[in-house]
Amino acid sequence: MAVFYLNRESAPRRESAAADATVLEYLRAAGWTGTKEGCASGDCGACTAVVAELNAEGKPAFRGFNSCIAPMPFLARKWLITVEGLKQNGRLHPAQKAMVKAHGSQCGFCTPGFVMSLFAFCKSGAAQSEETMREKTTAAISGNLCRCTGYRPILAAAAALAKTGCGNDGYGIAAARKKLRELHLLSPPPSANDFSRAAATAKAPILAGGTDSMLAVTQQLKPMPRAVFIGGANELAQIKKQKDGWHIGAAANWESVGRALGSALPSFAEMLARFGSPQIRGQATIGGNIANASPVADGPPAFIVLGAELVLRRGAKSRRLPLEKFFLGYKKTALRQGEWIETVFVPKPARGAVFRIYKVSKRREDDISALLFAFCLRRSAEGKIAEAKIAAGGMAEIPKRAKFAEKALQGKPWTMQTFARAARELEKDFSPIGDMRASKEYRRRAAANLFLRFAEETARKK
Amino acid sequence: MKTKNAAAGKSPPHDSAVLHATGEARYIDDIPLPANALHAAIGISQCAHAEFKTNLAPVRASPGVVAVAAAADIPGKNEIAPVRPGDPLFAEKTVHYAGQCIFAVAAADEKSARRAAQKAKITYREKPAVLTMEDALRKKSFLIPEKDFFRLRRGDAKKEITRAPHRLRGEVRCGAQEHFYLEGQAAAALPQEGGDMLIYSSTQHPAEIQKLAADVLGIAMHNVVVQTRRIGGGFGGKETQAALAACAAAVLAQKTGRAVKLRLPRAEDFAVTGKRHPFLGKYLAGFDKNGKILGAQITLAADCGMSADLSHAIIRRAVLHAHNAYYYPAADITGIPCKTNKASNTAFRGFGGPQGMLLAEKMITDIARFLGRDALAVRRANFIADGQRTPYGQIVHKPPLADIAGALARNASYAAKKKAAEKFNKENKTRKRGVALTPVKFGISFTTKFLNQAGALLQIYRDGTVALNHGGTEMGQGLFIKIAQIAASVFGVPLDCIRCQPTNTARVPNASATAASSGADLNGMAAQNAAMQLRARIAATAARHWKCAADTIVFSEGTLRCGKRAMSFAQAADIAHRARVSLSAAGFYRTPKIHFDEKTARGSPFYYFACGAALVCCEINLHTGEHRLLSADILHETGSSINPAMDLGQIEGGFAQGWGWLSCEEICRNEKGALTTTGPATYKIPTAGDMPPHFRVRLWKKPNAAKTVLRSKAVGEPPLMLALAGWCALADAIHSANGDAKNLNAPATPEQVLSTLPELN
Ligand SMILES: Cc1cc2nc3c(=O)[nH]c(=O)nc-3n(C[C@H](O)[C@H](O)[C@H](O)COP(=O)(O)OP(=O)(O)OC[C@H]3O[C@@H](n4cnc5c(N)ncnc54)[C@H](O)[C@@H]3O)c2cc1C
Ligand code: FES
Ligand code: FES
Repeated sequence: MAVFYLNRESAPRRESAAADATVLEYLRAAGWTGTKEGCASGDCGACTAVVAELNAEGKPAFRGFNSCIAPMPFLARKWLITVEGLKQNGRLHPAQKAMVKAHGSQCGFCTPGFVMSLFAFCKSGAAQSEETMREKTTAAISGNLCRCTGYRPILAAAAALAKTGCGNDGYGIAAARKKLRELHLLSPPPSANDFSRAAATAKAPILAGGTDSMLAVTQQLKPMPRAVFIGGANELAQIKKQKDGWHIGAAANWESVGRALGSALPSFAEMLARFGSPQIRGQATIGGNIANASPVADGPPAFIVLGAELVLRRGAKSRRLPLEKFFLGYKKTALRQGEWIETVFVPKPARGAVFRIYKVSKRREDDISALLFAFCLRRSAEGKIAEAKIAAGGMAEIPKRAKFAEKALQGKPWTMQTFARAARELEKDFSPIGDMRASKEYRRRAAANLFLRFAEETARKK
Repeated sequence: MKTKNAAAGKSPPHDSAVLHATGEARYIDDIPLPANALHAAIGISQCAHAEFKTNLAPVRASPGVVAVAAAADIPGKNEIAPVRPGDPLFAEKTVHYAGQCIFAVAAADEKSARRAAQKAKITYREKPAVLTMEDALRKKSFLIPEKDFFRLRRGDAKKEITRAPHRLRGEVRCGAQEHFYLEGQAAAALPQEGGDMLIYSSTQHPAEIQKLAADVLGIAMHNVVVQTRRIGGGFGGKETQAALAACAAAVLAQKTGRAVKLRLPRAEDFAVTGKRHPFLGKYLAGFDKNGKILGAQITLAADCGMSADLSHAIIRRAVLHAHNAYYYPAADITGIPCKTNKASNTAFRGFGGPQGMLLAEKMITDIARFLGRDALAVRRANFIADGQRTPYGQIVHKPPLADIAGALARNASYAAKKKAAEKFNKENKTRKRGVALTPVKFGISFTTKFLNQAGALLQIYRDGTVALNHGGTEMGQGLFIKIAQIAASVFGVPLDCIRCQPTNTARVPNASATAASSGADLNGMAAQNAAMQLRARIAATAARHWKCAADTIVFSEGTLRCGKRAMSFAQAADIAHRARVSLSAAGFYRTPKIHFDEKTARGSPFYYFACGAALVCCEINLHTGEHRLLSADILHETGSSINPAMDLGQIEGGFAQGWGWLSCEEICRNEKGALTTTGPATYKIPTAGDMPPHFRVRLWKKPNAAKTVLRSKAVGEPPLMLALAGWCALADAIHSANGDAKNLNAPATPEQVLSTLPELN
């Protein structure tokens, strides 16, 4: 049962829908057809709607999400805002006005989605300074495809909106806080213990953000009548920064992971900016990314080289496992029946460690990696390579260390030559496959070149 | 009569801008249907070429299913091809591509229909399939006999090439492009009394849907009404490809007597529908020391897929554009229509033009590199000049190519950009920049003469408001607002006085597809024609009323004036009505002067040309081949623009779409010929981040010398080819990296770029 607010309605809605019912289907079936379906796979943004929710820190926050792959239970304790909810007393919302004024629509099919992304952008107070405006507005709409406009007018609309703000549109922080607190009282979130019990006994899959698992539902029509929904458990989305590193609740989404780790690991933040889209990053969880065990997931290689550990839990029992040991084979993990990931522990990089991630994809924004390499190397006092950890995605059937290459670096001088030599060892580490994202030859060659890129970027300037 | 304060030339927003932004604009899937309406899904082939047998009993037995239709259930003709037969609605006995539609099922809701469709038992006996153009060329798998290939000859190209001081040979291939209209293929068919059928279709060509649906249902055209209010993007992909959804829905609707909606899920849309034709172009060119082309032999092989669809016209346009903006004194250009086991490739913005022009730009770039000369200088040396003839014999009048290229090079600092790139390239080892300025000259008109006609129906109501009908469809290009502006300009009334009606086959018959950039040119003229008739009638009525001369009456700001006397347009309409003057007029237009002989490949197929140029800078990364655009400056012709904002939108959007075709959009298949890129998860169209941070478009607004509507120029397709500047800039950067720029193909994905680059270390 999901209890949520919709638009300007004065009473909350209660819906008990199957786990495989999406928010988009729900809306459209009810005649709210402003929200469009362009792909049903989270890739086009036409279905973008906005929710206000209490984030991990307990503060109300607005964010856009792809309603086409969002399961109904996701709406629990949220305030759902759709394009129909923006107009007030028959007058256009500033986000809508900005789009009209900038000639931001042509065929118009993508427009409601863009309007909602602009609305979320405005609500997040993301852009104030002129210098970063282009970057920020581009990022804000990177999860929305438009085939007609070439985006220039939409970016202009976003910039104009950033200046005017959303005004007094009825979707203020105070209003959100009041509504969300009320919802939390009406339907308290499950605790970690509740969830663990359910996961152990329910004989139903765990559902976090749904950005991986809902694709089987919307694309292959796989039924999923029931699921244990971890996304609603705020407690499991907490990120605690401690001396030794970050203890990240598995239900934490990438946006909050980025906020927590970004300043210490700028290269990670750069990669995250290209991880999915704002809609996906707000929805997708770190736990789902790991548990899904996709060979092209962007999180694991980075966490592996940082020496991350998982806290796995089943019922009341927990065990720790190095992340590297978690992946057993293609989409196969060390999770036992009823067991789930509770926490991801990411140690702080050691002093002198140089950390870099390189994501390579056909398209810059919102694309799955063709390959991704994470490097974490420590420089000794003499300028040698004291320790090398390198892991890759897209190169094998699991996220995998480059052990041969690492060995070739160990103890060697930090020079282009050393890295070029180590890159030759990659042949032994990986035999990548070819698919629609890249051929195996490309993966091999680009992988070797990333070693050169790393060397070039980290060589000491004399 | 005169009109003042014309609405044309201003930039009112798109007619549906507010409805778009509020989500109130209705697309097919948003139209409320009767409560008992059914939802359909289709079953498609998994094999590229096979004889098959179906067992549809499990589909029929699936929960919620009401009806199933396959080839045997079609009451009329099982054919939805636009020109030459070869595209059955439902495959019979043999499938010719993976994705071909075999049957359709209607159920109580969409999920039930889709789940039911999954349950079909289809057994295949596979036959040899032709899956690549190379294979087709080798096996001579063509749509027509070789002697019938479209071939365009001027002079003795072979001799001129042999005699020329320099010769060069080269080839370039470009891949398929999926239209990726945001609204997928969709239609709803609603049975009417007496066996009639009303169809809402997301199509660029309602009249053809009407014809095909009538044929499929075995009824007459006047029994079918097709209505299209707007489509969520077309780009050519709903010119012929919309027929499947509409006709399948109609068959099921007729069978069940209930309304049926069919909306293809994205992956099926990808699998079922044709794409932009992949091409393999080859040239042999002879030229002098300045790069001036003396002769060119060109072959353009196109991957047409399993049937003709519009391929012959597309190849014709490719051949007619293989000289782009240049003068070839001698030429021999042949189009080769390869037949393969893929979805029948189809119209896509530019309609073969982009592929032909890619070859021209590739050839020029190769020549410049061969001679070590600046590519822009070589382009200038080759620009076709006033009074010169295209290879097919059409005289070109005062082409603004040199003026546009010159103004752009000056205003966007071509020389400085070149210098800055050189400097950057000296200072950077693993990143290189490239610069290119390329022209576009695109012929406007359907090359099939009879299509160059249009109708409109205008009616003025007693309250002075105007309902405007014409045969064009609104797919985002701003056609409706432009035509409303044209009509408002004739009547001198405010824009909100004019209401564009949904395109409807019952109001304007036999309309051509809204395609070939001709929407505003043709329908605008027809609407203007109708409006002029009505204005004359109203003026005559007012003249009688006032006892003044009709030609002294001025229409302006919703008012008629004659000297000191004035009345509102609404009053005038009411007076006319009471005087029993018809307030309804049909307008018509046919493009004058055009002719073309397909056999000899000679004539003047185009009413005029639309030109432009783009200057693009890019940067490539030598580690991975990743690249990005740094800047794009564009100067493009619009004639006297009817709506500069709409035209700007077409230019920017066209550039973006062209850049997608040339840079990141890659259709991939497995060894069985089935797509592995089945949606936006794997098929990547440009996002905002792929657009250059500096993106500046200027309009070249000199009035059209040809007598087009308000002297405007068509702007739908030509800008797509401005993106060739980006591709040439990549080649330039690759060359600066000592790469093999001559081997660059399209799409220039990071992988494609890296494959041309030398090994590092
Ligand atoms: C448009 C789009 C773009 C994407 N882009 C990227 C990208 O750039 N990089 C990338 O790496 N991924 C990308 N993804 C994939 C996906 O978003 C991520 O893998 C995401 O982190 C998955 O998290 P989720 O919470 O949505 O997982 P879900 O779909 O909810 O779950 C995935 C799997 O993990 C299991 N699971 C979830 N949480 C737990 C837990 N705590 N314990 C045990 N099992 C659990 C579920 O049962 C399920 O099997 C993209 C997906 C989409 C749709
Ligand atoms: S419909 Fe495309 S992202 Fe949801
Ligand atoms: S306006 Fe057509 S897709 Fe954006």
